[in-house]
Amino acid sequence: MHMPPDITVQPTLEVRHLTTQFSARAGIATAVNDVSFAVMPGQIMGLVGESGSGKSMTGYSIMGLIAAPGKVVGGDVLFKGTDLRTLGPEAMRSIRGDRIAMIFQDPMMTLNPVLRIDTQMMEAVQAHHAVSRETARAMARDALARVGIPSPDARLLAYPHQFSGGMRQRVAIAIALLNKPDLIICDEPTTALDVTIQGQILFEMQKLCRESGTALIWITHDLSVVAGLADTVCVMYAGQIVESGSVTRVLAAPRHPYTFGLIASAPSRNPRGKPLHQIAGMTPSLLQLPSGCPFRTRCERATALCSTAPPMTVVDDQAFRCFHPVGPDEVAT
Amino acid sequence: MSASKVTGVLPDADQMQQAALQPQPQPQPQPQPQPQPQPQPLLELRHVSKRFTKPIDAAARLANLFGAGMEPEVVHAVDDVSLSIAPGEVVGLVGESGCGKSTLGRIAVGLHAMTEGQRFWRGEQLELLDAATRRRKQLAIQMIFQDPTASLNPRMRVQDIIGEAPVVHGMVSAAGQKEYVEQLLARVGLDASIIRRFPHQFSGGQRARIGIARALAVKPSFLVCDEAVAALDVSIQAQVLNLFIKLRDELSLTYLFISHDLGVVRHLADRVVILYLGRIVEAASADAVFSMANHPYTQALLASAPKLEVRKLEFFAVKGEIPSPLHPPSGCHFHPRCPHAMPRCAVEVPALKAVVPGHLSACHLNDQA
Repeated sequence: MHMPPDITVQPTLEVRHLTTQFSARAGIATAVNDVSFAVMPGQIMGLVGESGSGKSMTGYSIMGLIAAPGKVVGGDVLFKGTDLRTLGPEAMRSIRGDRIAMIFQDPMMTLNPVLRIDTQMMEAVQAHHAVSRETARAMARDALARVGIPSPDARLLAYPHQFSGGMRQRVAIAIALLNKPDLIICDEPTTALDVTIQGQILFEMQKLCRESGTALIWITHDLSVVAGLADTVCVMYAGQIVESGSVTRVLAAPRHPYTFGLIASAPSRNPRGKPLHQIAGMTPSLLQLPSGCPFRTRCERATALCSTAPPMTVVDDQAFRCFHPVGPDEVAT
Repeated sequence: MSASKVTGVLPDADQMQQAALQPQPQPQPQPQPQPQPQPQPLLELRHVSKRFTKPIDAAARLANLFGAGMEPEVVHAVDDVSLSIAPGEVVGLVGESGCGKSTLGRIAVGLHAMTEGQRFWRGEQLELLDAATRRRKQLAIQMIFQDPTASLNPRMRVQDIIGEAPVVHGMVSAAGQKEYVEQLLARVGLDASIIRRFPHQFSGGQRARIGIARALAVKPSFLVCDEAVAALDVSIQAQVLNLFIKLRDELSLTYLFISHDLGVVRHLADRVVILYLGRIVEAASADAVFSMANHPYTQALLASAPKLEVRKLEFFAVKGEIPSPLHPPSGCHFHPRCPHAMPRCAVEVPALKAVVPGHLSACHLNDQA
């Protein structure tokens, strides 16, 4: 929506007014609330938020992985023009893992511990393409080599426990890459990894997207990862996208007070040993959201006006949901 | 190693980035704080080593009877580390997983026994004291754990979680416990009305504050914080870090701050110690480490850390995996991943030497300059 209206290129994924709710005894929690964004081919979008902000649920909703008591209750998920929400389970299965892949945070949980890597990888190929075992094995081998696993032929015969955490995540990425998907959704794939290993994986993902034209949604809580990796960013708070735009714009001149506060509270933005800029209070429960702007109870700028829901304001290539935005010249120091 | 606080203007991110990518160490003859009249260190660890041994099992012993030659597996979690911390100082202990930073923290508190080495508290060697005296002295060293959920007993109420230790140690009477806990809660920014609640009724940030209050309850002068903010969201992390800064000023505490997050350490620490596979590779004032890192590993670590300021920069990839501490590489542990490795690095363990006064680094490159 912040993208310039380029009609020649169709977005790989366009999400419009996506809403996902969970019904609990205590009431209905809207985990994803009217979320809209678009990702172009070869583009990397960062989806940033704190725990409970709905960033993972947005990813799951796109993939059709929301299980009861959750339900996608509204909106469109247009993947290359096709609305995924209108597809039946069979059609969705054929797209999932083939055209759209997802990488999860914990590779130990997503790899089957009792199957060898080659079995798991060849299964992913043969589930979608009628190819021989030899071809599938060769594709698996190539995928492992592409993510920088040394001696891929030997490693194909290994079990997940024989890999280190970083290597396991590479295997998960290799599986996602197997069928050369158009879109990869990564849910905090480097959060559990050490910085030098995270650096390697970020480097490889960036390279892969640039080379293959794969669109990437990178879900993370870490703004600094997005700063180096992504082209665009959406910041989520309590199920809503509160700010979106190009990474350069949003990080240099955040307009929403929440984004502003997040950036200002980073230790590197504060003089050493001095108290950090902090956002007061804590993330509200989705069951007891304040009316209007969900951030208003923690916001220094909130007025009576904020108890009505602020609309998305678009300025150039940046959009924000706030009545009292931070001025474009106010710098987070 | 100097205890005095180095103040100065922080270099901006670009400079840091460049300094971190400098291939050759450039010791600058800057007036660094001299290590001369040192105040007595609060806590001193001398040549501390910790080895975890997995003894061979019955099957392996049987196999050995037939000459299988199986040996017990030994992990050198901490390998000959010396560290002294002055009163009021904040020392940041940085390293990746498996580098022994948590083990070293636990040794400092006394939760792990050392395999080798000595531990001094205000100049007194703790190992030589009788158990009761040692326990009393060690009360001044408290620990804050990484996972605020796992480290609080789910079946105890806040009043007992925080108030149990001071009552046991005779610091407050059982009758005065409630009031004492309420004061501590106020100190860490929690409302006194939560005193009868259980841990599951709190958010992560509140649990972290309860963990801090529990550590403060026995009036420590030294806190070991093991990844104390790693599990928290960014906005909550800032609040808890601010609490650490406030408490340091109010109670004149000394911290050993263990973290993998360079941003957090840079903000809080006066002095930074970098560990790699159980050994100290570099130790210097925070300014020195972040502006002119000497050891190639520190440089790699600084360059890999994502920064808010950097946009669309090629990520700097350090080659290779972190080796298993079961089979650490010979010589300098970092040599298989080091861009400047020489034949000597695979053979000889580099000594931790001063590059400039107060700036220690363990790298053979420094001998060539």
